[in-house]
Amino acid sequence: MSRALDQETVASLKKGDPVAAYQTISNLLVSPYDNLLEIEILGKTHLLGEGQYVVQDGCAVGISKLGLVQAFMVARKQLRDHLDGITPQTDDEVFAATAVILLFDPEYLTATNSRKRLIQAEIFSGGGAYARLEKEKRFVDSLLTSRLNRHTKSPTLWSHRRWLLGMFPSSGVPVDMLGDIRDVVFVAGERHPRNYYAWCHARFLMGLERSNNLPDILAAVQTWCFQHHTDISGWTFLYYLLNTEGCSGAETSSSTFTEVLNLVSSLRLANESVWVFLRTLAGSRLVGDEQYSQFLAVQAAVLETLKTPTDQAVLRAAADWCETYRHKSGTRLAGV
Amino acid sequence: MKLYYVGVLDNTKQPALQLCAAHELSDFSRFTRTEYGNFMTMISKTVAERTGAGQRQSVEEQDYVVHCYARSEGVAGVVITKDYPHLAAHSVLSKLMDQFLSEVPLATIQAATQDGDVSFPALQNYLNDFQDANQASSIAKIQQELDDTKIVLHKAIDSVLQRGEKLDDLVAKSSDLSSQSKMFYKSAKKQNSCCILM
Repeated sequence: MSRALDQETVASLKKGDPVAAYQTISNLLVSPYDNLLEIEILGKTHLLGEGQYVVQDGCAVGISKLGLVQAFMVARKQLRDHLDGITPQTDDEVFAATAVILLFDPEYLTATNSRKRLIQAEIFSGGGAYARLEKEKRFVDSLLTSRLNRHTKSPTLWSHRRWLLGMFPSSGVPVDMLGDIRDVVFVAGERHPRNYYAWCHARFLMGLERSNNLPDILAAVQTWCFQHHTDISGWTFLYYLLNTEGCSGAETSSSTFTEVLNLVSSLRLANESVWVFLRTLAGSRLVGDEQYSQFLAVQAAVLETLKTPTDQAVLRAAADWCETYRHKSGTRLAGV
Repeated sequence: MKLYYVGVLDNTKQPALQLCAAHELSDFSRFTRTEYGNFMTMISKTVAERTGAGQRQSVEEQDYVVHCYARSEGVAGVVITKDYPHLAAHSVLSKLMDQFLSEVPLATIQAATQDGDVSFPALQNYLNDFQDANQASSIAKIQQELDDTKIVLHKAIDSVLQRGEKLDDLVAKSSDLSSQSKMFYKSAKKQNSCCILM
C-alpha cells in the first residue's frame, strides 16, 4: 500500500480518535507472540466499522490505513517529546511508539536507533539478553516478511536486523542460519523480487558463524532458485555458496550445474537470470571441459526452440561470454 | 513458478460455467485473497469463452498468465500461473483434460447448471503436484512433442476481448464479483510499484 493519502482519507483524519487508534495498534504490535505476525494494511475497500482499527485472524492482522496514519501522528509526537526531554517515556512506551512509527515508515532511522539504545542498555545492565533479542527479532522479521511493499526491501530495517543479529554471538544467543535464510530471506525475497538487501543479509549471516548445515543451506537455496528462476539475486547467492569453502566440493558444483541444465532444457528457459548464472558457472574453474560441452549443447538445443529475438539474444550472449571469459583468472559474476 | 488456479469450464455457455476449480491463494494476504480468488474465476471464464474448440491460448496480464486449452467436447481447461513456462502449463492442461474427459461423463457435464456442479477431486492434486518446478519440468519433458507454435499468445487480456470491450467494463458487469471486489480492482490498479523497470 502506498503512503499517499487520498482526499477522503485526509478528510477523515480530522475525525475519529487518534489516541484510541494508537493504543489499539501499538498494543497489537508489542503483545508477545510466538510466531511472526502477517501484517497487512487495509484501504477503504475493506469496510471496517467506526472505531475499528484492526482485524485479526490468528497471526494474520489487518490494520486500517486511516487508523495507522492517526496512530503514527500520536507516536511520532510521543517519541519527539521523549527525545527532547519534554515528556520522558518508559522503555515500554518507547518500544510501543517506535513500533507504530516503523510500521508506517520503515525508513524512520530515529525509531530504529531508539530501539537499539534501549536493547543495548538492557543487555549491558544484565537483563535477559535472550528474551529481548528474540522479541526484537520477531518484531523486525514480522515487518520484513509481511506483505508490505516498502518494508520487505527497506534498507533501514535490514540494517537494523544486521545490527541485531550481530549482537547474538556476543550475548551467547545461537544464530539459526538455515532457519533465518528460509523463514526471512526467502520470504522477503519472494515478496519483493531481486531483493538486494535480503540477499546481502544472507551473505552477512553466512559470515557470522561457522555453520554445520552448509549442504542443507545450499540445497534449500537451489530449490528456491528453481521456484524463482527469474530472480538473479537468488542465482547469484547460489553461485556465492558454490564458491564458499566448506559449502560444496567439485561433486556438488557438478551436480548443481547438471540439475540446472536439465531444468533449463526441459522447461526451455530463456530468462536472463538463469543464463547469467549458467554462463558464470560455465566460465569458472568449477566446471570441467566435459560439462562445458554439455552446457554448449543445451544452449544450442534450447536456442533452436526459441522464437523471440530477445530470448535468442540472451542465449547467444551466454555462449559468447563464456568464449571470452572461460578460465580467465579472477572471473567475477557480471550483472549483479 | 506458481500455479494459482486450475479449473475446467463449460465454454459452450455464455457466461461460461466453472464446472470445478481449485485455487492456491496462500501467496496473497489473508484479507484480500478472496478478492483474488473471485478475479481468477472471472478471468478464467472470460478467456474460456473466447477460446475456440481445439484452440490453445496463453494470455499475459502483468505478472500473471492465463492458459486455456479448449477441447472439441465443449469443455476448456484453464490454469493461471506466474513465471511458469507456457509449454509446461499447456502440458499440464493436456494431461488434465485427458483425465477429466475420461472420468467425467458428458451427461454430467451437460447437466451442470451452476459453478462447482461437477465433482472432480483429482483437480486439487494437479494444483498441488505441479507447483514444483521439477514436476513441471518432468511433464514438459514427456510432452516435448507439444508444438508451441499452436499456442496463441496474447500480451494483454484486452487483446482477447472483442473490439470495443474493455476489462474494466467486464469487471463492472460481472456477477462473479462482489461490490467489494469491484472496488478492490479499481484501487489495486492504482498501486504504486517501485522497481517498475525490473
